[in-house]
Amino acid sequence: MLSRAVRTALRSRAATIGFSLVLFVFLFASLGPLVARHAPNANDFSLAREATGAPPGPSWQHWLGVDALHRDVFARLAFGARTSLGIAFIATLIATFIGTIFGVTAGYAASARIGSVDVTLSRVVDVLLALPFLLVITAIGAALGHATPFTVLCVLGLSGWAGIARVVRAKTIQVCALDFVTAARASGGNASWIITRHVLPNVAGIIVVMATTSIGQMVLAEAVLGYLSLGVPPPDPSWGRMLHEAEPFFATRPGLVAAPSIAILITVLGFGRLGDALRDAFEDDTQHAHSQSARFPADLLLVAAALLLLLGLPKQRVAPPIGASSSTSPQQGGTLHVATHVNIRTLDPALASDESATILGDLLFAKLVTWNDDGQIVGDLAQSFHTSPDGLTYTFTLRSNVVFHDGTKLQAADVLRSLERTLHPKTPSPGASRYEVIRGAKEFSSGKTPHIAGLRVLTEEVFAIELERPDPTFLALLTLDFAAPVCPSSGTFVEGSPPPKPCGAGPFRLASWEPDGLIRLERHDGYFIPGQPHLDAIEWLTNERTTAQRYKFERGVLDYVRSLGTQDAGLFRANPAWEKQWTSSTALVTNAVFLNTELPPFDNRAVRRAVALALDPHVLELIRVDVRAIDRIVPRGIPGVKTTSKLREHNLEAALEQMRLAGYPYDPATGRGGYPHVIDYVAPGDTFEQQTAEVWMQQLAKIGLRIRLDLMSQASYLARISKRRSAAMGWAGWKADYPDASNFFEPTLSSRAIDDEHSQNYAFFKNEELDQLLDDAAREMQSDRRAQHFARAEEIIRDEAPWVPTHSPLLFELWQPYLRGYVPHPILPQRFRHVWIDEQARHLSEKRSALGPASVLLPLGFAGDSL
Amino acid sequence: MTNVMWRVFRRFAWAFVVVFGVTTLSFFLIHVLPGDPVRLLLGPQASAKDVARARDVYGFNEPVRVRYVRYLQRLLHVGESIVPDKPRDANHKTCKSFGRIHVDLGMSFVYRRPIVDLIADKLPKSIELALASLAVALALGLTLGVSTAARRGGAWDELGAGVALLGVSAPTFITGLALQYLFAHRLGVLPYDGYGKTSAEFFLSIALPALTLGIHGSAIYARLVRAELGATLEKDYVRVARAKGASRLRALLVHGLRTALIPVATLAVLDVGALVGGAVVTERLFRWPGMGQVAVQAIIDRDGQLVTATVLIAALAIVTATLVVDVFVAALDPRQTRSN
Repeated sequence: MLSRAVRTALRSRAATIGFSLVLFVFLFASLGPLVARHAPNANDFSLAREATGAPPGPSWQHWLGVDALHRDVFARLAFGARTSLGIAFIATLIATFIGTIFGVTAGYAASARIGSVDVTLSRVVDVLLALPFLLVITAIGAALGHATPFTVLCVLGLSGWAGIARVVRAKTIQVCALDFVTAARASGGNASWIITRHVLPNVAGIIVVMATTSIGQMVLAEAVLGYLSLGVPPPDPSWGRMLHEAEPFFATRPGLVAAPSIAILITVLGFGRLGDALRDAFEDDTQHAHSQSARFPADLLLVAAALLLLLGLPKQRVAPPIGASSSTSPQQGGTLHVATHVNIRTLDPALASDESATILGDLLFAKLVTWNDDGQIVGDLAQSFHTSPDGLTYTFTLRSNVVFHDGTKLQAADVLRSLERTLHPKTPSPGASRYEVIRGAKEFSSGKTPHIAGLRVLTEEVFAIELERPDPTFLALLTLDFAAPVCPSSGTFVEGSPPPKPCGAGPFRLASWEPDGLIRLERHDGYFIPGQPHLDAIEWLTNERTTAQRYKFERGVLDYVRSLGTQDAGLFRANPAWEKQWTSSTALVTNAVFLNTELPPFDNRAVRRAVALALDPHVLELIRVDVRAIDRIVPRGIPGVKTTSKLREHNLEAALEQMRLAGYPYDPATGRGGYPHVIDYVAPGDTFEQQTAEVWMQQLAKIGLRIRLDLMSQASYLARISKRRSAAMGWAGWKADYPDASNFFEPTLSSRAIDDEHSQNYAFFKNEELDQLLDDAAREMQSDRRAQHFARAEEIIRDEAPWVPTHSPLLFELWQPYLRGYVPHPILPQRFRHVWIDEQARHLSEKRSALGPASVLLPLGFAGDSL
Repeated sequence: MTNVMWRVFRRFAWAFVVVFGVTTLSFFLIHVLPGDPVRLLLGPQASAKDVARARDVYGFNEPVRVRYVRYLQRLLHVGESIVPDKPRDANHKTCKSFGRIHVDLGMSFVYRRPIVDLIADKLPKSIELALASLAVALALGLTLGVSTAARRGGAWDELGAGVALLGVSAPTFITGLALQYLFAHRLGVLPYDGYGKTSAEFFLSIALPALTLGIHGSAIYARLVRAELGATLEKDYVRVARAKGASRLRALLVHGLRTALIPVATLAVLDVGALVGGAVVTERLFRWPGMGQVAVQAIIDRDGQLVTATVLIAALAIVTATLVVDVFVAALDPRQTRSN
């Protein structure tokens, strides 16, 4: 029966179509790589980007254009075909095989009243279906270590069979209840004979349908594994990964989405048709009579339609701003609408550490001192402050008119209580240890004393803070949220959870907060600066994707956006009408490659120097407009940092010379020599850090260092790099906690930051001169001399190369013309304290969003452009 | 009769074992994964000292088995019934009470909220989306499946079967992005994202996520129905019915669909079970405040109690779905349970 069915199937027209499509795909996989003109992983940085920042499209050189990292799309599609087809095909076979055995056995057992077998098998399936895929995958991934195509196969095959088993079981029970099975049983047939002879042929149809459907899903599931860092290890291509990587270019380069989509589509159609033909053949033979009669090129039509749909999307551009405002005097009232792509988890100043909470903290909480527009520290809640000549005592006088959100008046005791609240042994604050310079803070934090000895209330409005040693960064520490005065109702410490409602003395108070949703701030009428703030309210949408932010901004639903995706930002940059409405400034962040000085080959200084010379971060500026290449640890925006001559330059010759000195001479012409072992590069997966790693990999190969990317979740990454002798090299990043050069050296590169399990010195770098310089700088109150210390520190890092600084992100900020008074602050991000809204101008732009539904009547291509 | 009662009892006992087993497994699994939850919560820039103190405050220094035993003890216990808006007893801060029975899933230390509250907030929204997308999937899938099966081998059959294959292989993030761009941005007829508060807003806001999931889900139903119907239509009893004058449509819907219903229902109920656990990508795309986001974020943040709670919900959903399927199958096709 089986051979007859296959013969029948092969004669049908569906089979012919399916067979030719599958053949086409297999031919592409086998021959494509031979005709490709480029290696699949080679970056071609000689090509320039388009005006919007999109990678260049098809050309004679690159038939299908290049991807985000300037790699040839055709070559990647062809090489990716082998991986994707192989994985999808074999994983489907595994899943179908196990699923069928489980399903048929359980189903037969159920109808033959062998209840225990069915129950056991079915419960195993239940457990598998109930456990979250992500949890299982993460556990398997952690157990297997490195992802290889083989582990991907196992993961997909072993996790995909449960659904098939359930459907097959249901169908088997149904078949077993039919008369012919009963008859077979009555005539004394044994189980295996009944199953193979009567049951299997009748469930085969549904199995084939499930299996052929699963092939396409497996291609995509591999992509899902990819962004869980468990897929085929990058930079090797697979169709699923290509599709995922093309996602940000959905609007600007649909071709990148189209290429892998069409490939997957053809594969799915091919296997699907083959499956249909087989299934039809298993059924009554009268079927194929009319399936042969059809002469309709449906598949060609479908592929063409999909291609047209993807490529024919009107080229996106953004409409110019409407409602230019010429008004110069601030207006009162109005609501500001902003959004962020992160989830805000806490607004308690003692607990919050992420940037979004800091931005909101600036509105909710006023601090003793703050940064003015020139980057100087000035009083905020403090009317005045002075330092004793020995630098040990700071005396503050508070403003007399400060009222908290709950109406109570701010007194000196509140400031000290709030500091103690953050440093309390029961408060799990991420920043408490920074304040240990206060006399008695250590003893208080460890629970030995009831109060901090160095905090003294002098009068109702005057108090003093005593330090153990002079500290040039102490005032900067007081600008942080951790030191913000909070209402008396906030308590003397913050138990883990739930924290009390945020209550401070800032210009806005918290009105409502939906978790993962909208945060609404309203004007604090008792704010101590008369006439401020201008706005009535601020509505902050959290958890909003950046693309949706762009859409909403275009419609005037949002008044300000920042950190848009590089493609979305490119659309606004490319439109001169928006020129005056955006800025781009360097964030106080350093990204680097760390080289573990305790692990080979980076225990050899020459190899570290070779890496520093071989990496060329300037290519990143080509890949993304929101990145700036750097050659030093401390970012430009930090006050008192002088950017003089270049510290380091990319030099391949010098790098090869260092490799020779290290004893690993490498000949680029023949590819011989170099370091004999493969080195793991550790980075969190599915991030820009992964992309930079893929670029570094190509650059280091040129000096004979072979890198394997070891990508993992943020949690595993943190655990891995902070453990001694665990990661040889990888990505390291540091963001300014407060704008001071010491914050970039002390926690990351001083020997004091080394710890066996929780090291923040990922390079495990020990240098006595650096330690001494940092010690001196920590006590030096003279800013010129401090700057000299840090300049020397930069030279040490350049020469010893425990970190190779590569790039800082650029912050792209964009706002509507009717949002007035917004000036990007040099230090405090996204500062809305003083902005106001020109309601007349906004009204004009609201007309645009009101036009929305009416534009249904307009032809698609003109809807956006005509407005 | 006692036989049936015994079978029902055994079924529930097994369901309990599955839920208990899965929950326990996940409780221990999350603890052996690499990564330190406290370090993640405090951020990569917190010093080792601050991390150590926070670990102590959050109770991470206790052995896992102590925490597990306490978790089980707290899960269901007896206490005073809790009156909303009244300050709670310190021992029952994270409880929800049903009369005097308390359910306590613990505190999510990342969300800093009692997990029962979090789930009471998110679960209904996930169920709404699951049902809506199932409705879309079944409507599209059955229509496509029946209409293609009605004219096997015709142009519409070829095209429809192709569309179904396409639907199942189009990832939700691409469909979702395209739908959002078209309906929300270009045409402006549906909201971009979010969860509508009034009922009108609600139906508008659920349209796009339900459509995204529904299109993806419909393909498999279309293929199943087409396959099952095709087989049934050639069966003798359907031919007899046709010969006796039943219209083609009647043969399709009354006789054909009945057999197709069993695999379709099996899959549908299981789909709802799986979707109740949350549709991660779609929820994220459309800011739908359901379980999916929470479940994934809990694993990423290594928020142990929250992971256990989401797995517990998912297991309950799957087990309930399986029970429903079994009852359904028995009701649809009595032959399978007869002679008991």
